[in-house]
Amino acid sequence: MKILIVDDDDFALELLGSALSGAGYTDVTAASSGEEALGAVAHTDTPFDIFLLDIQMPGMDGIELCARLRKMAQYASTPIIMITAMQERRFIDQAFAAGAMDYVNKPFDPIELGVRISLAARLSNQAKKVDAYATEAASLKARTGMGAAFGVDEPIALRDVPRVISMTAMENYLLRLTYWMAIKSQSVVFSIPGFREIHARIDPSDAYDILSDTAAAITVGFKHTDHLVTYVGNGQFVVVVSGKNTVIGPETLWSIEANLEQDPPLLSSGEECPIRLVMGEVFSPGIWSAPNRLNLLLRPLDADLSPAGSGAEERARIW
Amino acid sequence: MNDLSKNQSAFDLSIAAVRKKFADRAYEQSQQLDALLDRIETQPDDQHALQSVLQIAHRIAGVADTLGFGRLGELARNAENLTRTAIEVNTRDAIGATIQVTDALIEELDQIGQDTPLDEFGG
Repeated sequence: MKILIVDDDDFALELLGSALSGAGYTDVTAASSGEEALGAVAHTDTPFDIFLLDIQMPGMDGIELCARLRKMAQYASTPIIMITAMQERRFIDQAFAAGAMDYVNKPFDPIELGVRISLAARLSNQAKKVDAYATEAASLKARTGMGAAFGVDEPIALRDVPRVISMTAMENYLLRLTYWMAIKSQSVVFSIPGFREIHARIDPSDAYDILSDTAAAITVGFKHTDHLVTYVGNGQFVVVVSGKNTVIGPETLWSIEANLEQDPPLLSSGEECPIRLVMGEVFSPGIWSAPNRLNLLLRPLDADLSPAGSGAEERARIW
Repeated sequence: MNDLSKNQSAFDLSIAAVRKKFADRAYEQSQQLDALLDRIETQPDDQHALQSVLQIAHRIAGVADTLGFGRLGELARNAENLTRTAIEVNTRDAIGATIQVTDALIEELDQIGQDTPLDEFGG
């Protein structure tokens, strides 16, 4: 497992190196700035499997470095763990929005770091399989015009949509929020009614585009807020908004639907694909119910949202 | 000795080495902070000096606890928070609070530089 650690402090680099070595990871490269890290990435023969980035560094900070790495196709899904002494939520939110998968606090506990790296290593292996699968799918699409299938309930990662993060990253984000941060959040689920039928009828790459366009419309609907979005499968999206002052109501849904009407997803046949959404109840946790698990956010929706409505039947006819 | 114990021993030895280096550099950091405080006392709105204090305190806060310097870590975190506030609000009171906590940080660094208890890490 090849790991790149980036921190502007020599002592922190030495400690990280020792902790990783103690956890059995010895193929570690150290860089003391964002610029140096990009140099290491450019010159390495074999790609890195995991990145550990300090957030606060002079010059290019860890958040910018994370965003730059994510733009490289090779590192689109490589685990990136941020290291931060900053407890302020905005830094953590920015890091996840830039593509971080997890974070550890400074001063770090070597045992906790080892555990998080082991989890990241497992994710790295999964990411490699997903990338191989994506390459295969792209090749299949080029040859046959058909993309590779993904399961309707699969929480696939929607890349290249700002503020849309993978389900794993969202789970880590929610788990790592402190109690006080968590109770200052609101969350809501949006669902594409009848997605199961839609998914069964169309090309997988069209299904991916529908999800990606819907996620983009959702982020535009929340553009004035500090928010993160993830896709959890079955045509459902979870939005977590920082702060309790944002009003999430029918107007939010109308605004998102207006975005989708104005710029509807296009199928590979060239047809426009009208999408409607259903919005779940806004979950604004009380003092005893901080939402630190994604399944707690989703549970109320299972009952509230029917899998298919009249809109779904109408679309099923179109396709 | 199993692998876990071997790893733990290797880690403890390596921490002891880093801790020694940190203690060796404590005096140097204390001198840097002292010079910066002199500048701030002369010219309280010296933003560059305040930023430098913030950076040094941030770095110390990031490693001190892991190296077993708990009190230093606490003082460094306080210095970091108060300096950040001083930079934001730029008031006499906020700058006064930064000077006070940074003085305590310097004192602790001097103490560590003089007397480094390494025994708990086997150093």
